[in-house]
Amino acid sequence: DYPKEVLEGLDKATSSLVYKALASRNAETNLESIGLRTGFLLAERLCRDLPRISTELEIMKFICKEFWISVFGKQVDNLRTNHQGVYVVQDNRFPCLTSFSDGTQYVKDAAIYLCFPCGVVRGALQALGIQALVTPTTDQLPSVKFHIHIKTKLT
Amino acid sequence: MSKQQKPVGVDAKKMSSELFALTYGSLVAEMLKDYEDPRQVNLQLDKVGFNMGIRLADDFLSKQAGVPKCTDCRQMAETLSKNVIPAYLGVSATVNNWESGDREFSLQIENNPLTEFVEVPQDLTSLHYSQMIAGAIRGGLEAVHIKVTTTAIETPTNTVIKVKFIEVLKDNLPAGED
Repeated sequence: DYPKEVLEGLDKATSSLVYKALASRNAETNLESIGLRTGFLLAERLCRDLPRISTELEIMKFICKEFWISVFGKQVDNLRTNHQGVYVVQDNRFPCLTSFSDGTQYVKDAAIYLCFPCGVVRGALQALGIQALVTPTTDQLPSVKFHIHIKTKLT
Repeated sequence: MSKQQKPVGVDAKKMSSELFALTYGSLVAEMLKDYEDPRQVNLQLDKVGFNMGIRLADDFLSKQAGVPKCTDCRQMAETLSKNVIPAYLGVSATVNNWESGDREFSLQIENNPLTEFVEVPQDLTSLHYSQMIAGAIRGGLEAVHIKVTTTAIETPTNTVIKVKFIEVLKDNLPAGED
């Protein structure tokens, strides 16, 4: 639901068009929300039998080890943090990108393949009580860096 | 495609069935939100499956050299239940309910991996949750020139795929060419 000011001063037909344009979702958001749901459910299943994971760092470690193995079949290659809510997860051979040829040629085409995994990671963090912003960057296939910007921790 | 280093320890072609089932569930949920009509979702899932089936048929024939050529529906059903479904879903299926002179049958899939975590809500009775499998069967058979219609029906215990044989497709030359 969008602020009324956006739609003010427009006739009915235009305003409904504007509304539709704002409400419609593109492929990226669709894939991301499919991933979100999947990640949420999967994380719930995975940590069901584990002892309580309480700190932010423990949660990140869980994501990078157990969760990553069960989703992407391997551990992450590098996890870095600035201790102020920003984590960078690096995977040098990301399974969603292995069907592209290595190098820089297809970096742009690969972008849409990263929406789903981003959603999965965000969903898993949400299941463990962390609201975060997850953005992927890739300079050279098949390696990816996920920037995880933690916004607010749910209590 | 370059494939120099293979990842150690994991088979790159395999994925966790939990991840697969949950992703499929999320996809269906998302489609229900988008199309707002379960029947429309059935159609789309069928289409997704169809496109998978066409490709899977090639894959299947290249891997399973020993499968004999099917001459009637009974053999077709046998191959589907004994070879195709176990190969791609990892579970077995049984054939029953032959109807209209061997032209219609049902494939019962026990422990369908897609529905492992799923409970379809009461108000979505018109949704055929596993229609993707039905579509894949339709696509796969179409690739070997057999036209069928398929529907996936969810029962409390298993998934039933109803298959109805229509015709054998013939290769026709495009009109106007000799």
